[in-house]
Amino acid sequence: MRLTRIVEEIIFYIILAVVMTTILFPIYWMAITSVKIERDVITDVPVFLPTYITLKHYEDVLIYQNFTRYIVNTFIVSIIAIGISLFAGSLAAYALTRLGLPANLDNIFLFITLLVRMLPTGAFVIPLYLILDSLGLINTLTGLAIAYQIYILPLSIWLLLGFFRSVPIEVEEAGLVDGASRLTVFRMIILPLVMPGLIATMIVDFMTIWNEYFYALIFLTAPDVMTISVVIGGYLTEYGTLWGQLCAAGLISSLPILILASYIQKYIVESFGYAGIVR
Amino acid sequence: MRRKEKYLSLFFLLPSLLIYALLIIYPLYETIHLSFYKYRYIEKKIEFVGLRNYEKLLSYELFQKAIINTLVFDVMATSLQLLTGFTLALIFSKSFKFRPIFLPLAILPMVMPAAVVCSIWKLMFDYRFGILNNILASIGLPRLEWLTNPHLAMISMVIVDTWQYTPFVFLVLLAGLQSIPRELYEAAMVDGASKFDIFKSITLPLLMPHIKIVVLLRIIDTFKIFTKPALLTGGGPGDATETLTLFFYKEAFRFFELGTGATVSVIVTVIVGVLSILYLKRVRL
Amino acid sequence: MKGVSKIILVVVIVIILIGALAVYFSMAPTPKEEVVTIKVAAPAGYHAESIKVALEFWEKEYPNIKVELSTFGYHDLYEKIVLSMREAKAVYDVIQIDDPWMPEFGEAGWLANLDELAKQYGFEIDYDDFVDTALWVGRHPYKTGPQLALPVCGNVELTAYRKDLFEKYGIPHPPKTWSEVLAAAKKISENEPEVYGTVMRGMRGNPIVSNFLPVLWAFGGRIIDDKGNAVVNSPEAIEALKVWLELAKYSPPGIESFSSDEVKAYLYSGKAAIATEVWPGWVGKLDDPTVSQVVGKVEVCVPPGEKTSPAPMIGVWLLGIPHNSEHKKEALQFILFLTSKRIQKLKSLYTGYPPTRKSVYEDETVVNKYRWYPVQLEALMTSRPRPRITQWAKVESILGLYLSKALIGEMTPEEALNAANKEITEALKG
Repeated sequence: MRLTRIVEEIIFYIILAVVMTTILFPIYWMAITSVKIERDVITDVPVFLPTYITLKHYEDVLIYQNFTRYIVNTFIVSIIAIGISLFAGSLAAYALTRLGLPANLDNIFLFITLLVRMLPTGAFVIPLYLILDSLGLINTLTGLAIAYQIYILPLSIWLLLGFFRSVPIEVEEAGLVDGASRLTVFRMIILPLVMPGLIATMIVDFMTIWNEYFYALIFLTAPDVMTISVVIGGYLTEYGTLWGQLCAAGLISSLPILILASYIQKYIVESFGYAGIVR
Repeated sequence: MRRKEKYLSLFFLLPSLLIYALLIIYPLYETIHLSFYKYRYIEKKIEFVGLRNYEKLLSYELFQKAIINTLVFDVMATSLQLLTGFTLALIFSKSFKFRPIFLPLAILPMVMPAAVVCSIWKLMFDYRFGILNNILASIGLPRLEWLTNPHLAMISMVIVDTWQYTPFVFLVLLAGLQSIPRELYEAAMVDGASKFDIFKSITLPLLMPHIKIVVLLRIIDTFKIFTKPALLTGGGPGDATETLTLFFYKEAFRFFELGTGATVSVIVTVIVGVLSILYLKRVRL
Repeated sequence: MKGVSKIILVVVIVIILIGALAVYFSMAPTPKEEVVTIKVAAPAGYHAESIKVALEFWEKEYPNIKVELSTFGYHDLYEKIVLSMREAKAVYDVIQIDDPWMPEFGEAGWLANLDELAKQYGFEIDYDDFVDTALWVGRHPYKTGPQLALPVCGNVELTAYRKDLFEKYGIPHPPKTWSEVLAAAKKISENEPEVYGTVMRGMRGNPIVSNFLPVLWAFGGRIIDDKGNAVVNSPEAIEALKVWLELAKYSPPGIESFSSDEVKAYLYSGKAAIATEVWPGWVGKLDDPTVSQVVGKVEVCVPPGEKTSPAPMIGVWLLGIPHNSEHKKEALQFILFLTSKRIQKLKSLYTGYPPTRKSVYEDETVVNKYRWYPVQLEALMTSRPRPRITQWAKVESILGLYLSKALIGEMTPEEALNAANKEITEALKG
């Protein structure tokens, strides 16, 4: 018995090692490229451990090109956009799973949500530009955040739908029977139970927006509100890719979400036990 | 009481509906409307052509290839990502020592900007200077033409897409796994069920809603693949990796033929819609 | 007593305050100089670098005109400036334009007439010093119309080859015809196991077309004839494609997805003998030991001819003013500054940015630093532009697709060019 346990453990760790290596190898390559001198980037014999390391690319990106500004901008857009979508999304998901809706409206709503997800976001760019322009929202981070709802609102609704569905109705009914209002029930009972779902949705929304490129390009015009993806696109020039800066910028821009994920991962991973309730 | 509830529920849906109205109605109308015109944005030339755009596109060889390529890519990528994402979710649902460190690292691929991802992979795929071929050569295997063999190019794109988007599937399924009550597992183990049985009868069924949703989302998303063919292969070699969104982007934003662009968008949306409906019918969400 | 002192104290403070306010308000406001901000859109990379170098001098000499520089990747820049000029409100005052975009913008009337503007504001444009061919692409109609944009980056296509290897095998250099190049490539690759004869850009789209055009033109082929018909399947063109495919045989595997990165890699690492198509921005560091492994071994020359004299492809960048800009005067000043002799020389010395003025190309200090500048000037002066049509993007895309198919052997040269010609004819109708 003991032996099978140990063998299982070993197999598990081997699989884990293989998986993590596959995932992280390109990242490792990015990391060393970000500190290599130009001569070592494209070489006949691959350079795994460069003999010369330079921090010049980071210096260029962070200091000369003011990259931190762009990260802040992207962060602001994300927060606003996610705030809107989680708010609207969780309300919608709750209504769809708990409250009856007149005349099949819930199916229609879901269908519209699915439809939005399928829409050609690229084709909408110019009409959206005109709409945002008339509202004075071009070149503003708020305007971009609103435009992003096309991407993330359906996503949030669909994801949250699944998570809301998996919360048993009995829990709620208990609360209602005790005389609490719907809103209170939502806040005090449901919300904590769907927390892992909310967090997962938030991270996924973040990742969707963080690297979104096309809308950011078209709806923002001035350099002081630019987001990172447009700036990073600029490192691919017709005269050759600026490898060092590209990789440095890429790694820097992934840090915020990495840090965010490290802090909130426990909300996704630890189970919120249902103490005594069995479906 | 019921009436009040019905209004309350509409109230709950209001924010989403408002957003949809603002962002969707006019652009959608414009897009469908434009698809019946020839519209050169720069020259400001508009000409009504009825269904001619649709005729021309659907009989254009490159467009047909794009449809096939996109469908093939979609099926391959979605299946592979479901597999890898699920595996990762299973691995990380078990609590092990380095999990707090590895979990953020595991989602790193999706957090990287697409331009960086594609450039690095292109470098890694290079026939001579790329690390992948160098590793293959060092263990005596032949070098592969990752991006220049028409069939391999498509597979290379699937690899990059899987590498990048597995975290999406992974996170959703992980959260899904976490929402399965522990007591169910405990009760089953007390009853003497084997690990396999538990997986089959408890985990899989309860995870199904999440799996169905995530697969649907991936089917829809991978259909829009654009950055990878644009940066890795330019749609080549020949037309091996031409995809619908790449085709659209060239029409609409390089040639600024907005009429044709709109037509492509409508066709793409219809195809995706049909795929989704077929999927939902089979899967009964 | 205490109460009275308090009151006096308060009164004194109030008086002082009122006095201070009176003094402040009576101070004649320093006449605030009008500060105008102009928004400039330019490509990222070394174009942006060169503008930043120029800005260091601009800020001191024109403190009243602030420049807000936005930089974008190539295609992004195109989209941004099109959107900006098409919609009513101008977003940019100065835009950097790639020469193939000029016909479209010129036809749409989107660019301000620089001649008129200069006259209106009393500025002089010394056209004589600029290289003619570079000026011509900035005019609409080509060569004869008014100047709508001034050339700022003297980009022209060149050829680079390993002088040391040519000498080793007794091959005369520089190669004057593509046949010579082919023979050289064959000889070198047969005798040097580590070196490929040629390295070319084969990625579908702009890279493969740009690489093919000089060969096409050298064989007398053209894309569009004088009457505006597509002739890309003429006998000359087919012959050119066959020769081009021969050249490609000596290139490293994977050429079907090569863009500038790969060509540079092979050239700089010494793994290729001839790079048939290079641009000034790629060859700047050939003599820099921290980057190049072939210091002093590579020579740059005007691309070879064959049936006709060499016709290097021009690819200059120009600066123009959108028609809806509200600061045209300041925009013109900035453009004249960036294209002035002094600033072009500085840009060239600091960043290697190719000039568009003959005087800068011939300046001693500059030539000392960049030994191939005379060759670049010659190439620029004999260069030829891509067809001046508004549908160039589409034509290039069609040609790019079929060239790629020919390269991988999916179609024969005749099939590929015939198919391309058919589609291009169709596209030209629209």
